[in-house]
Amino acid sequence: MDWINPALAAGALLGVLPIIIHLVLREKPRHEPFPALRLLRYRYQRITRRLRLRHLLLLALRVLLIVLVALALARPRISRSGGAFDERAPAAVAMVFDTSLSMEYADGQEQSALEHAKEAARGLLEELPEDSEVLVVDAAAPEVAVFMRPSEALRRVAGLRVQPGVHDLTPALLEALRQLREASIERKELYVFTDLMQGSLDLRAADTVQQAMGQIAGGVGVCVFDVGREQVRNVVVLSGGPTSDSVPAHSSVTIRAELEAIGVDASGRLELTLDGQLRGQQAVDLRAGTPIRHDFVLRALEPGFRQGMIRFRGDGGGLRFDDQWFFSLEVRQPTRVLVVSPRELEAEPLVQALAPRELVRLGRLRHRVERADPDVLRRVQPGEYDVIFLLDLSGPGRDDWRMLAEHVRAGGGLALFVGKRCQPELYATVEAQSLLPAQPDALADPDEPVHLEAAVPGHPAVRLLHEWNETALGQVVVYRYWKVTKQQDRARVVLRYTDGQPALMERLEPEEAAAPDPTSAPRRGRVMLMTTPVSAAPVLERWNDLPQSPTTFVILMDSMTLHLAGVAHRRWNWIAGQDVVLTVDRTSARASYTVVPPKGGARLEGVLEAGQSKLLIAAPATVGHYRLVLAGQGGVQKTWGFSVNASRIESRLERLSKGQVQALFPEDSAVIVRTVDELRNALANVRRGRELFPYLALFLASLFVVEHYLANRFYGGGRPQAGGGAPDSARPSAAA
Amino acid sequence: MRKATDYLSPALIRQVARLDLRARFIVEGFLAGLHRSPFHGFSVEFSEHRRYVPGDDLKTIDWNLYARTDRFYVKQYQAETNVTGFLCMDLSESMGYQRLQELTKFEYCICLAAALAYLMVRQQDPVGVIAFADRVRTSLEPRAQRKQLGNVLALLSRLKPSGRTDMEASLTQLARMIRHRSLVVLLSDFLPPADAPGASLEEDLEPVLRGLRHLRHQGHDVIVFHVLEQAEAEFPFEDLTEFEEPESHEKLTVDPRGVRTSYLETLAQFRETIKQECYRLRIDYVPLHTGVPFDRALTSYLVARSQRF
Repeated sequence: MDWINPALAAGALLGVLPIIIHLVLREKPRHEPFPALRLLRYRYQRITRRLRLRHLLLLALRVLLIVLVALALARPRISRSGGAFDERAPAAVAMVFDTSLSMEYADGQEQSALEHAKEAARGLLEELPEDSEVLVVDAAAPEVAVFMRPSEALRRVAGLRVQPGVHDLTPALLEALRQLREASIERKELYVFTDLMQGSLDLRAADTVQQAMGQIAGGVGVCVFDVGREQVRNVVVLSGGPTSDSVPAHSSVTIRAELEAIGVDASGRLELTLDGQLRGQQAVDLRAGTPIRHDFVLRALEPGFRQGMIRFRGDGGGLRFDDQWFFSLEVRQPTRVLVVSPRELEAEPLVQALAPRELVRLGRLRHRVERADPDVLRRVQPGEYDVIFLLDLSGPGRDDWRMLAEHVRAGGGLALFVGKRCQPELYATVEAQSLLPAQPDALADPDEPVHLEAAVPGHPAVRLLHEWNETALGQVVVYRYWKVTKQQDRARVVLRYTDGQPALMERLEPEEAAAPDPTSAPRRGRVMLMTTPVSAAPVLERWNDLPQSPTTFVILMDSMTLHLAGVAHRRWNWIAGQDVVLTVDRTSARASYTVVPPKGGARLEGVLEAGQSKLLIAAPATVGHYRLVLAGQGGVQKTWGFSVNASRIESRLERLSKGQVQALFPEDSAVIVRTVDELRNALANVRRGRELFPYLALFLASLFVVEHYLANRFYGGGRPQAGGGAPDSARPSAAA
Repeated sequence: MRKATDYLSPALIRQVARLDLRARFIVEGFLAGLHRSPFHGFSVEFSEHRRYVPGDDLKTIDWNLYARTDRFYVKQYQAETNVTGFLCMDLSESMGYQRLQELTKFEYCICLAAALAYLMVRQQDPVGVIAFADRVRTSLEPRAQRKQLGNVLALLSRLKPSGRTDMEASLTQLARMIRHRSLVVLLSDFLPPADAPGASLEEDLEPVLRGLRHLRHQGHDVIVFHVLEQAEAEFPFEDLTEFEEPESHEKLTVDPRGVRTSYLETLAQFRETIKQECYRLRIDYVPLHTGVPFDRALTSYLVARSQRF
C-alpha cells in the first residue's frame, strides 16, 4: 500500500482532538436542587458504569472518524503486485493465450474470441515501454515461449492461430510464471486471454499455481481477460462414423451421427458424404440441450479404404469446426477361419455362429469359414488362414504344433477348446507350451454348475458382449471344465468361472505381460485357450450350454475371431492431440511410407522395417482426412488412411465462474475483465494500485450514521413527551 | 407570602362551590336512594324502614325483617355528615420545591386542602389541620363552624416547608393525636432524604408504609394525595447537572440524558409500591404532580369516590 498525498495522512493526529476536548474541556455541571435525588441514587453505580462505556464508545467512534477522514484524504492505494510502479518503467509481461478451438467462436459478423484477445493484447503492447520484456505463451506450445521486445511480441501475437487438442491453460500459466520468476525486471505482470470454457483451467492445480506465484519476488499482477460469450448458440456434431472401423465387404455398415444444439433451437440438414460423394441426407430439428441421433446405412461396400464426413448444413452457430465429423473406414475381405474338429457335427454351432447359412447365401459374409478334420493341420500353410479354431482335439501332434507355431508367427490367431477328448500330456509338450497360455491338468466336475464371468470386461473378445448385456455371461451354465496350470507371466485370464477357475485365457508375449494393453498391436498372432468346449453337446455329456445361448455365443465367437485376426485392433479414427497408432499389414521387407495430411499440409515420410506392422504418428494437429501410402518391394503401393477430429470437449461452451477462476490464484490477486476499458482500469490498478478512497468514503459515511444513531440512542431516549410522566388521572387507586 | 384568600380564587370558589353543590346533591340523593356522601361518617344511626324500590342497593335490605314479614324493606339512616376530617400536610423542606410550575408542592397541597376544607365546612363536618415534618409541627382542632375555613386557610398560609422528613414518627404521632375514627387526608411527596439509611427503595419506603398501616390500624379512613413537582415526575433536565437534595444537602453530578430512563423507571416503581400497599390497606391513593390542574384532579377524584359509596 502507498499514498498519493502522504502528507495528509499526518492529519490522523487530529484524532487526539476529541480526547483533549473530553479531558480538558469538560462540561461544567449546572447546579440544581432536586428533592428526588434518592431515586437517582438507587441505580447510580450501574448507570454510571454504562454511561462511561457509552462515552468511551462514542469517543472512539469520533476519534476513528477523524483519523479515517485524514487517511481518506491521503488517498491510499493498494497494488496487487505488491507495490505500485511508475507506468513508464519497463515491465516483464507474460501473455498467455488460450488457442483452443472454442476461441474461434464468432457469432455472425463479430470478431472471434481470439481476434478480440489479440486486439486487447495489441493495445496493451503498444502502451508498454520498448525496453519491456514480453513473453507470449501459446497454450498449444508453452515450452517454446521466450521473452522478446514489445514490437516483436506484436508480430508473435498476430501469428497466433487456434489449434485442436488444447484444453488446459494451466501448463502455459505455470511456464509463464516460471519465466517471470527468472526475469530481472522488478515490475511483473501476467495476462491470460481466454474464453474461460470448462476445462480451460485445471482448478485442481490451484496449489501449484499459488506456489509458483509465491516464488516470484516482489509479486506479480494477474489479469484474466475474459473473451468468452455469456450467451452462446452452436450446433455441434458430437460424433459421426461407423460403429466399427473395419467392416467386412458387402455387409451393411451403419454410420451413426449424433448432434446437439447449444443455447437455442436449430434446424438444418444432416449430410453423409463418402469418398466425396453425397450418400445420404436428413432434415433435422434440434431442441437446445437435447442431443439427437441419426443412423445412415451404407450397403454392399466394395473392399478398400473409404473416407467420409458427416456435416450439418444450416446455421451452425458460433463455432464452425464442430459442424462436421470426419471418418475413415476399412472395408475388408471376410476373415478366413479354419475350424478343426474330429466330427463335423461338433463344429456346427461355431460354424453357424461365424457364418450363418443365410448370410452365406446372400454373399454378406463377416467370416469365410471352413471346417476340417484334425489331419488337415499338417497341410496348412502359414498365412493361409487368419484364425484357426481347434475344437475338442485329443491333442495335436508335434508336427501339428510346429505348423500352428508357424501360423501364429505369421500373425495368425489360434483358439483351442478342450473337452472330453483332451489328453493333458499332449498339451504338456515343449512345442505345445511354447504356444499355449496354460496346460490342462485335470477334469473338474463341480457338484453345482458354475457360470461365466468376465475377468477383463474391456478385453476386445468380451467388450461388445459386456456392453450388450452385462449379465449375459452369468446366464451361461457350465457343468464340466478342465482345470489348468497357467504359464507364469504368460497368461491373462479373460473369462473365468464363478468358482474362480480360468475359463478363457490368452497367451501374453513378454513385452505384453510387462505392459498389458489389450488394444496394442501384437508382434505375432494371438493364442487363446478355453477350458470347456463349444461343440454340439451330446445329451449324456453336457459340458456347458454356451452354444444354446445363441446371442451370447454369436457375439462372443465373433469378437474372439476379430480379436484373434487382429481386425478388432485396427483403428482409423482419432482425436486431435492423441498419438496415432496405425496397424497395417505386416510387411515382409523394408518399406517406405508417406503420410499426406489434409489441407495440403507438410507430408511426413518414414520407413517401416520388415515384419513391422505398427506405425506411430505423433499427435497430428490438423483435423480432417489423412492418407498413408506404403511403398513396398517392386514399387507396389498400398494405401490406408485415417481421420482426425477435434475433441468435443472443445465444443462444450460451459463457462467457469469468476469465483472458480479467482480460486486458482492467491486471494484477491487476480482481476477478471471483459472489455478493453475494464482492462485499462485493471492495468491502472495493477500498475498504480487500486485507490481506496471510494471505499473509505463509504465506510466513513456508515461510521457517521452509526455515531449519530448511537449518540441519539444514548442521549435522546427517555425524553419526556408533552404531558408525559403525569399520572394517568387523579382517580383513586384504592380498592373499590 | 401568599394571603389566605389567594388560595381561594373566585374560580376556585366557584369550582369548590360546584363541588359543594354536587356533594350536597350526593348526600340528598343518598337519602332519596341514589348516592351517599363521599365522606360518610362512622356513627351513622338507623332511622326507619321503607319499602324496597328497584334501584335500591341490595346491601341495605333488612333480611331479618324479610324473614319475619316476607317483604323487602331497606334500612334508612340519618344524614351521614358527621365525619371529622384531618388535613395532614407534609411540611418538610422537599415540599417547598418548585421548578416547572408556579406553585411549590406545598402550595399545590394547600390548594387541595383548602378545597377539601371548604367542602367539609359546607357540609358542617368538623375539619382540622395537622402539619408535620420530622414530627408534628402544628395543628388546628377540628370544628364544624363556618369560620373554621378561615382558620384553616390562615394557618396554612403561615406555614413554610422546612426541615427533614421523618414520616414514620410523624404518622405515629398523628395517629396518637386523632383519637376517634376520622377521615385522614394525607398530602405529601413521600420522598425519602438522600441520606436515608435504606439500601433499596423498598427499605426507604418501609417507614412510610408502617405509618400508613398504623393509621389504618386505628380505624381511620385514609386518603393519600401523593404530590410531586412536575420536574420530579418528568425529569426534563438535559445538560450535565449537579443535583442537590434540599433536606440532606447531598449532591450528585449526573448526565440527565443518560439517566432519564432509569430515573423514570425508579419513580414508577416508587409510586407503584405505595399504590400497592394503599390498595392492600384499602386506602385511596391519588398520584399527582403540580403540572396537573388540582381542581380537575380533585373533582375527578371526588366523583370517583362518591360513585363508590
